[in-house]
Amino acid sequence: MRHMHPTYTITAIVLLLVAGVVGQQAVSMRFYTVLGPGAGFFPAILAGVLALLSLGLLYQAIFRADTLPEIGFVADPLAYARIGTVLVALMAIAVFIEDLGFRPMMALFFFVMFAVLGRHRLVLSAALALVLTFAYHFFFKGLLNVPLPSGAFGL
Amino acid sequence: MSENLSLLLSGFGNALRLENLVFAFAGCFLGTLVGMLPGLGPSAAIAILLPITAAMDPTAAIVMLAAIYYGCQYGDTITAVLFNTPGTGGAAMTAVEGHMMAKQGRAGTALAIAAIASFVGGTVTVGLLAMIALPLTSLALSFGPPEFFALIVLSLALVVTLGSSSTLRGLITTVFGLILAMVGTDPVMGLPRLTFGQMHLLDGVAFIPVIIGLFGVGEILKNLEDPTNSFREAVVSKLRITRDDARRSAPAIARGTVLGFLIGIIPGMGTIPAAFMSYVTEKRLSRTPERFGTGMIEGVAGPESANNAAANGALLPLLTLGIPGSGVVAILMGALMMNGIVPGPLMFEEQSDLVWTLIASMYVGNVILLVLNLPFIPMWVSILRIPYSFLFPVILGFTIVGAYSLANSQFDLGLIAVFGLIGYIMRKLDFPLVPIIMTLILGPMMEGGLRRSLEMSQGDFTIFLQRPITAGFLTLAVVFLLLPLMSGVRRRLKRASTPVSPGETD
Repeated sequence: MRHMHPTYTITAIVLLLVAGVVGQQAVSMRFYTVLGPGAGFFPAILAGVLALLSLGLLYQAIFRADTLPEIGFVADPLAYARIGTVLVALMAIAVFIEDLGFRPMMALFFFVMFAVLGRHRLVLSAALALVLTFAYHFFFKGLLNVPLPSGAFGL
Repeated sequence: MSENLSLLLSGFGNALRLENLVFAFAGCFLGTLVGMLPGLGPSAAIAILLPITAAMDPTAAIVMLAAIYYGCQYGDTITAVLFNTPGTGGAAMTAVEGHMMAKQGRAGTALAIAAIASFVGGTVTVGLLAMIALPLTSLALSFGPPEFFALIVLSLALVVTLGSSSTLRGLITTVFGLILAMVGTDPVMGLPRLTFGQMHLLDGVAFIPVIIGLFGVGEILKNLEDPTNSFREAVVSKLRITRDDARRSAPAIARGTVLGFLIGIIPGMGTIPAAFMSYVTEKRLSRTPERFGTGMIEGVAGPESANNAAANGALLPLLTLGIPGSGVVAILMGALMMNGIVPGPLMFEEQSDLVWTLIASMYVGNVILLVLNLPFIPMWVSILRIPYSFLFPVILGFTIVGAYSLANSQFDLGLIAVFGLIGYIMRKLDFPLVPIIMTLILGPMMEGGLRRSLEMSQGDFTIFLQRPITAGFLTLAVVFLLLPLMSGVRRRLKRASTPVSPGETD
């Protein structure tokens, strides 16, 4: 028998916290009105069910860890660097795309993806980034008429 | 009947317009392209591609979505046969025999028979769909809020039980998805709910960024653990089918089509059990079952037709009841809703033009796939030789433009990053993703059904037991949810009653 499963224990605790927050929000809304169930009615039920299920997962993670899948969560650190790069790049796009414009942000995004993830030469990465950016702009804005942000510099 | 036929003909009239044929071709091409990328199955492919349809008029969008749907299914088969890397479980059985055929230099034959089997499975079942949908719709129109609530509970129970490796984790995902669906403005009282003061959340959690994040970005992040994958050795022989191949495949295709459709109708079953059952049936009926696993063409023909027939069968509950039968169909439902089409019993009455165009588009998509994809197979193979380091940025670019273009919202772009991370973690922890998608769509309907039922009964919960259909659905749901628990208890009791041999005491 395996001992406690830390990954699922943490997951269960996080889910319990989620249930707690949802439950707290639900009780702050009206549970029942003269018309029938209020805004907090269904969320309160869901919070309760999620709490019960999370406790079930916690029990499984602590006392019956052998029934849970073994997870190689911490794998190659480089893999996590790659995953982190993509997530940071996506967040950067989300934050800056309207201020800086579609083309500069996408060119930067593609450059980072090719240079960091693909480990291509900088010149090749820059060339690919520019070609792709203009291809996307042409396809989405030119052909499909999708409104894309121009940013402060009109790019 | 003649009225249906004229409506179908008018649907064909719409689907066969030149501009729509171009969109159908583009949909088949893009669907196959993204669907065949290893690691990106049909769900991810549709999620990534559907924002393209947002800028189109509803008819063109429907035609393209149907084509993407079929293209994705076929793209999956290409990698299964050539590289033994199916993007979904549905193509896994095809990979068993198809890849062995490829190793024997018969990849072209395997792909050709897979295309024909998919075409037959797809085309025949679209016909069945058109015939059965209308009578079922009349039945669905007699349902009240309690019946709809119970039907949704039953559908979710089936998805949790049949589509998850663990009922507990499936239930957790379902409830988490329902909570996400509650975010926004309360439909009755107009109060903000679970928005935490965020104006962007007043309209709820946007469906498209969530699915792009969970399925598209999450899948890419998982693949980034080992981005060196690419395929360079595939060789495709001539696409030749001998008379013997045809003779052996025809009955397998017929059986797979019927079996697949019947399995596909049941919510939560999807394409995996359909393909598996078809494979097992072919093996059982074969005079040489021992040769299965060595490249038997029946093992490609049967599962492929079953796979496509099940994909169409899963559309039946969507079109008649407004309940998606699988994750891919749930995404398709989201895409239809994005284009102003609300699937369900009223769709045949209120938007009959669009429904019949959708049905006709399925035929058109099937034909285009058959006619165009076979000559393109060598080109698909050369695309698959492109290293991932070039493909990922291109796909991520699509997800960014797609998520942004729907509402011109920076917040939605943030959502794809957040849900990409959640999707990645869920994959690592073996939590099923499909219930989240289904509950995001069904959650508001489920809450509406529950609240209206309780308003009808003035707060009396026994309303769900007093109506026979409702009580039947809910009882079935409980039985399905308890089945895995009961079989687990039975296994443990059996183990406990088995005497332990001395060697096993350690």
